[in-house]
Amino acid sequence: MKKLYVLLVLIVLIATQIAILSSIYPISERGSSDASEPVTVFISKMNYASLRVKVDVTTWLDPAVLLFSNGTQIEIPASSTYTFSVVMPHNGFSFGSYNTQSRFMNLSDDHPINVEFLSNYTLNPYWELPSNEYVSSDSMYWFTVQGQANIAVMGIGAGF
Amino acid sequence: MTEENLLDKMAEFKTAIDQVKKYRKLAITMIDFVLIIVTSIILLLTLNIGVNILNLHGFDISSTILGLLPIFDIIILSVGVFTGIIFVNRKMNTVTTLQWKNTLDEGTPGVLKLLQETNWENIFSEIRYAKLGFALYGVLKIVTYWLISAFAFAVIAGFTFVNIFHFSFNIGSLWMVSFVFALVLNAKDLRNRYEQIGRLDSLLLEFRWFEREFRRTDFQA
Amino acid sequence: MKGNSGEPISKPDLYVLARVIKTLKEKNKMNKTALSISTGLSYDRLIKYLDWMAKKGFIEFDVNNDVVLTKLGAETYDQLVKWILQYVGKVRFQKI
Repeated sequence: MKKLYVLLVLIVLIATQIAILSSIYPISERGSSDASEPVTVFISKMNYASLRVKVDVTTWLDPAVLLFSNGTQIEIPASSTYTFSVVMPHNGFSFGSYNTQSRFMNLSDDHPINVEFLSNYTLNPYWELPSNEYVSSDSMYWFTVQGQANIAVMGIGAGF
Repeated sequence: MTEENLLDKMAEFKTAIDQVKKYRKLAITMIDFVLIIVTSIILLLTLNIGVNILNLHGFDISSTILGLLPIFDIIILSVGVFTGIIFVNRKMNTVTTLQWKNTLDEGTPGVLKLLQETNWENIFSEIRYAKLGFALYGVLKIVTYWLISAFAFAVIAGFTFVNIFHFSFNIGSLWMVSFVFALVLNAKDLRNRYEQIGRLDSLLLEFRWFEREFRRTDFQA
Repeated sequence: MKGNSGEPISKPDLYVLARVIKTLKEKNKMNKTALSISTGLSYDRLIKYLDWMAKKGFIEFDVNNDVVLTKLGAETYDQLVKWILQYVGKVRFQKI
């Protein structure tokens, strides 16, 4: 009988582990930009989620320019790769169910992390950002690539 | 039938009971087998969660290790199954058998003694447990094969269908295919178990008849 | 009733009876001490069984007080074997 109770506890533990594992999301998104169509990459998440990604921007025959949201810009020489990391930790608790969809963000309970590639985006995303207990300005990160380049966003996210 | 035949018959009787005792032990040991498998599942899930959380917190886990994770999962599960099987076999081998041999060497008096000492209710209970153990072990074997083949197919499908041919596959189909695969691998074993359970049923009937007849009659010396 | 007290045996243990008769069948006749050792019975217990068997006519004592199996004793043993065979013989044990 004691062994059956132990088995019950272990099964509950497995169920918990499976729930945790299913809240972990591998991130692997790719896009490209060219001289006439700069691309803005939006990395967004729910406040309660966290993510860590590595961004590779690889140029071909021509150099490209990488513009960050804080105004900094970096010139990437031709035929080279510029890599940087983006870390967005968990920044708030929230109860209940929520989802939001816009041009640069598609978040829901099943999909708390999102990467979007938008061409020729010229607006200020803060104007379109919903700001509530689920998503805030700290839950979004973006950068723009001007010039011909391949962009890869690879990493991992979690719903906690 | 001669006295020699009687001794052979009695040896068969006691051998059958020894076998039943082993199957009863199998039934009791099933819970331990399940605990070992469940523990190996917990270990592989812990490994997966651990690697992913380390990755999330900036520890540079190489993509090779991440890619090999499903292989580690299969290895851990297989080791768990192997350990479980060894444990069950060891437990079954602790069952003492052939304790009746010396008594049977006495001839007809030995047969009488063995029959007089037989606890029939105990034997009937052991046969019922033996049937249960047999059936449970078969089911657990299929479930374990199912889990391992599902992992293996997921790895193979990931490398071939997804990476080479770029087909996406439905997870439900994967479970279904691996279930059928597990059934096919165990088809012969399933058939043997079904027949064995039938034989245990016959044995129970024969023993019940014998117990009733033997107890009813009384040798008048 | 196993007859361990000072009282005579009322219902003998068939196993003990069978052992005594089988030993006597093999050796023809034996003295009580040797019979006690061969059958593994205590001397006192053996005496009780021998008294009972003598009353039933299964054994007798010769001039040297050795125990001898009678024809009735031998026939009774054969009947016992047949009785067991009758039941054990009918049981079918399939290999499991």
